[in-house]
Amino acid sequence: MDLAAHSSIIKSDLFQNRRIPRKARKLARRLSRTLAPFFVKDSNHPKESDLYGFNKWGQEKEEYEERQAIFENICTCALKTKANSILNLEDYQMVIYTPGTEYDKSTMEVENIGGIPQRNGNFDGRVIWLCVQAAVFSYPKRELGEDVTKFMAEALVQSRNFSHTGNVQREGGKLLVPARVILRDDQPAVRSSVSDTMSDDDTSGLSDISTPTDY
Amino acid sequence: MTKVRLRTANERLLKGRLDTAISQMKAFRRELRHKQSELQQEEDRTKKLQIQKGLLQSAQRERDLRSGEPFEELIRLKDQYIDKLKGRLEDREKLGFFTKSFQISQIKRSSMPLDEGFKDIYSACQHIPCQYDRDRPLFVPALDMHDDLRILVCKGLGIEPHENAWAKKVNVDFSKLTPQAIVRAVTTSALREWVFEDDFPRLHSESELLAKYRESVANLGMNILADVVEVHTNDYL
Repeated sequence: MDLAAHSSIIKSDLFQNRRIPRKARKLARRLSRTLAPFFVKDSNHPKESDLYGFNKWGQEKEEYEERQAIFENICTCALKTKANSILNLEDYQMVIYTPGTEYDKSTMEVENIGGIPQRNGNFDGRVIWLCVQAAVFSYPKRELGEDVTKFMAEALVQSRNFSHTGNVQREGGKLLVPARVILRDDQPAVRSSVSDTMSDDDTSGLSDISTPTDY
Repeated sequence: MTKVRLRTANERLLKGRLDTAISQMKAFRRELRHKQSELQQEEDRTKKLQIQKGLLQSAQRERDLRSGEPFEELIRLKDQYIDKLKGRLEDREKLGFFTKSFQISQIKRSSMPLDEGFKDIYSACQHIPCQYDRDRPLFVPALDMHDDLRILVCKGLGIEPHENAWAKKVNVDFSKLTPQAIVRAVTTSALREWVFEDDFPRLHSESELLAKYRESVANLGMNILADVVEVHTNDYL
């Protein structure tokens, strides 16, 4: 009954065409703002945002509007996928493999640093430099706990159906989508003028993150 | 019969036609006799079948008298019961998905195309325009000055963002990666944090009606469970 009620609401026009797009716009703005420090020095500067608060990254109107549309599309897709997932009778996990994890062909796909998929190649024994797309696993619903008073709460539809187990894959999962990883020892990209263009102030706090330590 | 000598052509013509008509009549008579015999055979067969039917009906009546009710009715009832049982079994399996109290059925796999959703998301992520050039270089930000970014980067790298030594553990040199790779990795981390591992859509917190409905469902379920537990406890004792 609870599932039917949720299904009815999630499939409703109001939810699909009003609530999700509204939240997607908010998330797109937040994502653009969060990523901005990679592209603009003073990412909090008001000039960097348009009227609706979308960070422009110093791009021309046409460029940032295209990016905004893509961000909103990504967030809409993600919100719809998440909403649909709570109607399934499974739990899920998104695993972002940490740098240094050994390559596992059963759960990962490789791409080079330029983003080109590397389907033919033996990558055994190599380790991850960066995981650019998370692997997604599904798990059968957990057994109800020992506490009888919580049985029904556990049996009802739960919005938190993606487990918070960090970056470690749980046992017994079924792979739905493989991770996409870049492996170490790949050709480094052509460097942009990162450190050259940064002022002394910008380097504060960078000592720890801009020095490659493991490769 | 006296043979009459036909004198004229007319008489000869009439004679010919008469002969033809006589022979046709003879053929019709033969056919009639044949049909009559066929009819007789059919009548005999019908009589025999009627006798057999009478015998079968009397045997059926005797059988029904002995067994209490007609077999046909029994078969119909059996089919009805099978249908009912199938329906109940389906209901039971569906109930099993929710409660898991009684493990009679295997969990079915997802029917929603979750993997398709993720493929769409990842495909869109690959098309985020983030070109850089001399005028727009890629910066390596000081993560401690950007909380949202620091949390996403740390979580993406499997580091607890709130622990003191987080900075020492961030061992990826962003300057050696392409902006596309960085943006995709951070976006993945963001979607995991803000959407998938979040409490979205949490409909019951926004709809009072749904919240009350869920409460009623839970209370109803708890009462049933309480009865079940009590029965099991009594059995055990």
